[in-house]
Amino acid sequence: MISDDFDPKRVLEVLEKRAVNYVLIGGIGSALYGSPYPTFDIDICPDPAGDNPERLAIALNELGAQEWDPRKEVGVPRDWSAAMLAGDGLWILVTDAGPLDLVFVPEGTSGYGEISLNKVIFDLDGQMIPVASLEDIIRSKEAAKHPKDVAHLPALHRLQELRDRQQGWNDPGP
Amino acid sequence: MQSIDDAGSLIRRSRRKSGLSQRALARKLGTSQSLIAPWENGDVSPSFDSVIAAVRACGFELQSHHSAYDPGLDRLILRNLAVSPAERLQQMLNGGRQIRALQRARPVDDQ
Repeated sequence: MISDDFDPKRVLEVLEKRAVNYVLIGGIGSALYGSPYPTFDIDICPDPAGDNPERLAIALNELGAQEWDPRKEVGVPRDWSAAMLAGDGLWILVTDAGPLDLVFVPEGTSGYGEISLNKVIFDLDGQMIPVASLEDIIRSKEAAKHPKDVAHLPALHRLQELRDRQQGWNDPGP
Repeated sequence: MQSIDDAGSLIRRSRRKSGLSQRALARKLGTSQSLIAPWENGDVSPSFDSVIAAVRACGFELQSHHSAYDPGLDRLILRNLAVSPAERLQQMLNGGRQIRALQRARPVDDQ
């Protein structure tokens, strides 16, 4: 789904407001590092531990999140609860601010616990955004082997290379 | 795919990926840390054989293939690296809006 209302900042604001532990991955994460490719959804890897699923559920309800039904191509309303979000699944959602994917265990990783170790905090106009390391984003895309991801990999490798050359430019990360 | 002019970063990435310290990598290569650091910092260019050996010592195999160099891609990436992450996101969103506008366009015959 391509939404004209795609507003990733709003999704990130609500996640922050609700104190949700997560790491941003996927195309938006790549874009913050400098990827030249546009994306039309937000992918996050949430922390399934403790009361984080509860906070995530509150955030999803605030965002009007619906589960995307790929066969009917519509969003299905859900009353989000911690119990629904405590697993290791993949949720494909649509929200008032655009498509949002919850990827509890990104391919090639063991999930939040591992990815969050190398996360980089980006300052997005005063908003602190936890983003998976570019290396982890690449690793996950390599493992997933989705055609779109595979197509973007050469550019991400090149990005990593050019960032290495210009280490420190405008970035908070290591 | 890494190009050989970035041999130092390739070695650094391989080493970090494998969790080795510079000292540990040097030990595996039978050399000293004082050789590894200049490689990674770009102060000294390692030979191609050294790159292969270092990557292998980290537990990886260096694969290579020839692909066309795309200066247009570098231009896009360098443009993004020259601005802040917030500006990168904004540029990406603006680009996305333009793409969606273009996707709405239909050949006149289809309307």
